[in-house]
Amino acid sequence: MPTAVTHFKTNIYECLEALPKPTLDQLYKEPATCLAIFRLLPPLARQLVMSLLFTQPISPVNLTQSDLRLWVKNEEEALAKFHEALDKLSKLSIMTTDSSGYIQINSSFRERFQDCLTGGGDHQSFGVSCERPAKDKPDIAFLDRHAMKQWEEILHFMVGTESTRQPSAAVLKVVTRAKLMKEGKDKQLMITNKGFQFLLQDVNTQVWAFLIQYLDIADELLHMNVVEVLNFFFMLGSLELGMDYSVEALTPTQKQLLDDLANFGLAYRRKKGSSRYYPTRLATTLTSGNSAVVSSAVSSSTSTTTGDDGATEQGFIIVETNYKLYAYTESKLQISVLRLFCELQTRFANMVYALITRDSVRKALKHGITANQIISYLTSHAHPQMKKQTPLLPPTVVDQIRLWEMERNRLVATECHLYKEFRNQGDYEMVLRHATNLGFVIWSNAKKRMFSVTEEGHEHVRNYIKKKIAQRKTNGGGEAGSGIGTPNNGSPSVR
Amino acid sequence: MVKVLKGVIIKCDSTVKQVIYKLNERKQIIIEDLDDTHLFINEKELEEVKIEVEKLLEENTYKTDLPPPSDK
Amino acid sequence: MNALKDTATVNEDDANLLVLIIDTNPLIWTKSAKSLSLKEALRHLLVFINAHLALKHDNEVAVIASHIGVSKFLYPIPNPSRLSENTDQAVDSNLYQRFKVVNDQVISNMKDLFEDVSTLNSYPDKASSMIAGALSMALCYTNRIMRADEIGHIKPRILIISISPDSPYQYISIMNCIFSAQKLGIPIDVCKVHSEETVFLKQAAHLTGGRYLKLQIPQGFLQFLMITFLPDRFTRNYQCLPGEEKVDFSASCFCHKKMIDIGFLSSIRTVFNLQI
Repeated sequence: MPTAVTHFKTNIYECLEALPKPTLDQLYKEPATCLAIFRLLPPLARQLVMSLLFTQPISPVNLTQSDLRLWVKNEEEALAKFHEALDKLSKLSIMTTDSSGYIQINSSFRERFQDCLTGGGDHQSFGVSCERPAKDKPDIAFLDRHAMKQWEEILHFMVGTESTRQPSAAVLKVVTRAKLMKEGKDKQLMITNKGFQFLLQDVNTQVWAFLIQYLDIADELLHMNVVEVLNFFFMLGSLELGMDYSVEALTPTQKQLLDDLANFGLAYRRKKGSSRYYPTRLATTLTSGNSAVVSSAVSSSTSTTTGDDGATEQGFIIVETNYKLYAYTESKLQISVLRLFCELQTRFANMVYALITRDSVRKALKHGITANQIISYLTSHAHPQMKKQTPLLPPTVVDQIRLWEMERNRLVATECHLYKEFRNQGDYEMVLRHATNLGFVIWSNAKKRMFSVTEEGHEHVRNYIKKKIAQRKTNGGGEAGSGIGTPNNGSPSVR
Repeated sequence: MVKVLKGVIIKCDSTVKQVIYKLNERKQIIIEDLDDTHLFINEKELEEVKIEVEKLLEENTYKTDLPPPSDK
Repeated sequence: MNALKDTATVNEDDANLLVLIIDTNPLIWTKSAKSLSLKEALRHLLVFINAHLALKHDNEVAVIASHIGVSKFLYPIPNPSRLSENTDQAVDSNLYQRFKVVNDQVISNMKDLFEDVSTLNSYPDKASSMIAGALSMALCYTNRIMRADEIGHIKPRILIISISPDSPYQYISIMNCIFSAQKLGIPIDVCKVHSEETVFLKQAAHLTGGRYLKLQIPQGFLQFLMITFLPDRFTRNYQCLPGEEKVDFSASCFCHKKMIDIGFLSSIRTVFNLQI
């Protein structure tokens, strides 16, 4: 079973973790990046950083790891969180232990993050706005529409909706590179299992998954500096929706990036070569993480203006205990996603009525979509009305979808070797213990004196038995009846 | 003395086990019946077993006719 | 629906609402000016607010000034008109936009508050500030936010930066605030910056599960805030931090508003000192 595209938080985090220390040091030169990376850390790690951030000016304190340990409760859970926090901090080389055991905060991170909080320095890390006010500024609703249009165009292309135009070269590269689509027989791009899974994620996760792939390409094919690209992503995340920012202040690489990102719908420019750009909601929520929750909590008061897109963001699906599903959407894209695991019944002006059936779910499972993905899709796109009830989805439906998945896996086959006909319990147990310790045993039964080991373990276990027999032989077979194939029995028949 | 056999171990519920037993009547598939939920079978037959089990279980799945949409 | 909402348990993903009450009694701040002036303290507090907002994308903050005779919201205010007018000031490329909005509004509203001296002159009790009023404003505000947030995602807490001594006149209203905070599950933290301990606020922290701490080194105000008062409600589950051991439970009588050691309770729970 192919694994799902994991949630962006861990994903972008892993991506950062893999970077060498000098690259990270480079990254920490931008306060906006410091802030974004800081927010990716677990809560306790964030608190540790904050506690130590401003220690320097008063008196240089030297703390060891055990000093820090005193700050957390002496409970198992708290200590586990503490060690996780320290581990992540050192992997991102934000906080490291030096040779004498003292905790050190990465100096450029400390400096820049202090700047970020106090507003010091002249780094222009949070986007340079245009000096002249724009003539006709696009409003937020327009930006939302633009973002959704661009982004959904990519998704439409993936599901193969007719009448979509060919997306840009960058998009094509990313989708093939990420194996979201691959070339079919007639040179036509076809969606893959991974692509189907991708479609079920929420928009924020999709965008990040996409950007991380883009980062890969940027490094290899377009010869862009990883640091510059990442800095630009994080800067976009810190911009203000509805504001205009100046293109002039960007580096050449970033200008090139901006063109592609505008294509993805993360930014808007009136025309190519325009001197200003507007970040869209896709960009400004990049570093917020849990966008689905945020938008439903915040937007009720602030953005009733967002219209259709706001509604899709907020969730539109109602599932009933009788497996009926009502989706309040007009988006062709959402409908084709639903078609992946539902039987569409009737389409009305503003909603679609569908059924979740055994066949429809099995069809999805055959595409490599897992039950959990279906359930999480339904959860994250649930109508606000559904969100009020606990549990959110009807348990019958959730259980049934899981059962349907299990039903497909009623038989689990593993290639193996079966060992049997041990002469006595002692031998059996000795060999079994050895094999178990190495983690090769799939199944064992003491009564029948049989056990089976994995393919890779077979060689090892066979050698072990041979060695034991050899030992017995040299020992002269004194302990009659306790040996594996005592000398007079000859060698065991190992097929 | 120890004997080693190569094959495929199958973990399944007792229903599937009975289905495989039924297939075994036609041709030799099962090498060893390990316990209630495990069978040791000939590895060449695995694909066929999988297909046959799927087919048989599918035949025995009964669908309730869900209320059809009123108009279509 | 709202009654069922769970305010006690906190998840990792929950947003935190920090309501900061700053005691701005100018008379006391002048006294403490040598060690820590209001201006300096405000600089530290603004960084602290930024740090709180930095912790999480959806963290919220509200700032209330508890002045002499009046308490006022410094942030958020309904119509922040002055700032949006001059556009070149609206965006600063060196400061994260959220920080900037909050900082600018707090500073400009604080200025307004100090320019208006009429209430200051007309109010008789200049020794203390309107802590009770500020507390009730804070509670009303959190209540409104919590009601608007249907899924119980926002976890509030209150932090009081206190400098004035207790005013026995405010005892009843403060106690009422404490009980409502207790009922809503909102912890009240108190940071005592100057002058002697306040018994009432100590009780507030004690009863609501908050922290009461006195600032020892005025120069280290920011560091002190960062270590003790920044941790959100999720992190607090795992941290051990210094807290006050002894809590003085003395009350003030309801009839003469005097602090008393022995009081008498009537059946309707009022406290008298039997002094004629």
